[in-house]
Amino acid sequence: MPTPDIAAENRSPDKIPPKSKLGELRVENLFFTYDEQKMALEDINLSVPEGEFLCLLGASGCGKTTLLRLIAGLESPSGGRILWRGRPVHGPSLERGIVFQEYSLFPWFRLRDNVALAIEKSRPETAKSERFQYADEYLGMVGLREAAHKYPHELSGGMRQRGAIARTLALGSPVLLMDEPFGALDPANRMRLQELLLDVWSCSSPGRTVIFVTHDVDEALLLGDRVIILGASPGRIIGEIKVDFPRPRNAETLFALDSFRELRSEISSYYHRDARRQIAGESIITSRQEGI
Amino acid sequence: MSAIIERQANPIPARKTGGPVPRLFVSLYGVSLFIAVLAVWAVVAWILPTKHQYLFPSPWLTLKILWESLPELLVSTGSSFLILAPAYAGAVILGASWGLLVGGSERLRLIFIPFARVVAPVPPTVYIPYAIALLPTFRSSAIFIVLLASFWPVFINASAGTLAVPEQHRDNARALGFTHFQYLRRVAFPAALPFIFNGMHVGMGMAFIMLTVAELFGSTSGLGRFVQYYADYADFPRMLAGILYTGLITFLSMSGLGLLEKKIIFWPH
Repeated sequence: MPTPDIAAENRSPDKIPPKSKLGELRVENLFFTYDEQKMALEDINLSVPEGEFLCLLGASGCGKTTLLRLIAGLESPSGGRILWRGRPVHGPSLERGIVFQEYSLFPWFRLRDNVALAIEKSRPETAKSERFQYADEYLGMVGLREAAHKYPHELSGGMRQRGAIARTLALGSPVLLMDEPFGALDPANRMRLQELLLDVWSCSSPGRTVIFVTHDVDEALLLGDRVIILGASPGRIIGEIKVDFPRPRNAETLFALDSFRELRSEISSYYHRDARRQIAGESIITSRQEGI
Repeated sequence: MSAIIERQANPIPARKTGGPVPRLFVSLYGVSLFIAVLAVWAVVAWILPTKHQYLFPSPWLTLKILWESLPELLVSTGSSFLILAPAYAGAVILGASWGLLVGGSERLRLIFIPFARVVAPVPPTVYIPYAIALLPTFRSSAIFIVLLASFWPVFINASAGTLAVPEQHRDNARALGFTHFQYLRRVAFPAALPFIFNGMHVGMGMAFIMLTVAELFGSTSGLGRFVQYYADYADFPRMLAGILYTGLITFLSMSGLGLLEKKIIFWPH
């Protein structure tokens, strides 16, 4: 049985179980502001052990993408720090591969060349022909070996995302960051890619850490070992849930479980309460502005 | 009372679109203005007294003389392209690469953009006499002038295109650990290609203008020289033929560039 553990709003760093495993990723007292005043993220503390599949769940605008970009090193924190294997993160690194929601592949390169770019970086000693061989292998993992010679615009949205996953896998990053990678896909495609991702993740031998951003409760529960719920304005952690459903999981059997449905409704209500408070807050402001 | 509500006639009639214009009409519309201009030209030439026909020749006479002068015009074209081709190629290569470098670097932008703002708008025609005086041959000075004139549009567009590289491409390049030069070559350059081609179109127009103007000054051959030469001898039918021919060459060059652009930028942008 999964044990819902929705933590209190005021999380302090000492409540995080102390772990200093080698592959751990830590976020300590992280703040992020943009435009000098608007607080996007406030005092985020997080510890992700090696091999964990962590989902960041939150409504749009809560800063979950910003948090992921900070972890990737694409943005710099305004306060606090991010540690990967005990070393602070400064700028992007091949150790933390990222898949975006859309447009990850370069449209002027064939699928194979897109993946080969990653191999050139992760294994610079390889010859060009070897790189193509490896690229085809990674494309095979996501079922795209046949499409290797195609350009991104000749592929469907789902195939493009699979290609983006193959390219990020080819980087060989021990940490995989995913920013709503299936958010732009239709439900059937999304389900297929979720299963594919779980397959690829469970096959990766040393245990890849995945940090997966989503606003979809079902997706978070299907994929994650743990779900962190983010609230908005400012972005902060409002809850955390350990997801103990046995693996391998698949959507059909999981969604039929009573325990899944209980957990789902619990999270949904928790998650929506914050969103409603948000909307209520906004509407008060609007009515004040518009009123009289 | 009947339950059926009688439907009122729609007060606003639907707009008649009538589907796409048939292909035949598209080409007819396309040539209609050419035919009209030709017709006006022919009628005016026909009305004018015969003694004016060497100042304002009929379209037929002009075409006949164009045909007669074709060998001379082809030689002139060759001569002009000996200036145009190296100058334009140089302008594109220098403009695109320098534009990429400047567009991709904050520091280089701070250095070069204020300079470009001041120097680029100077009409390059003003340099012609000095260039001819300064450089050893007419050809080298003409190449310099044409290169200078077509460099700026390519440079400015290339740097603007590099600045405008979509955020997601930049993020992907950073996540893949590209060096700055890898980023410029594999991401910024292809992403900026639509801008660069835009600059190349403007630059090609400038190149033709500068070429013909430069040839008016000191050339012994070339298209601009051809027109100037027969104007000096008041052989206006031949001059007009030269103008028509130059127009055709310009049009063909521009169309060729357009085709090249379509071939190179094959992805949706």
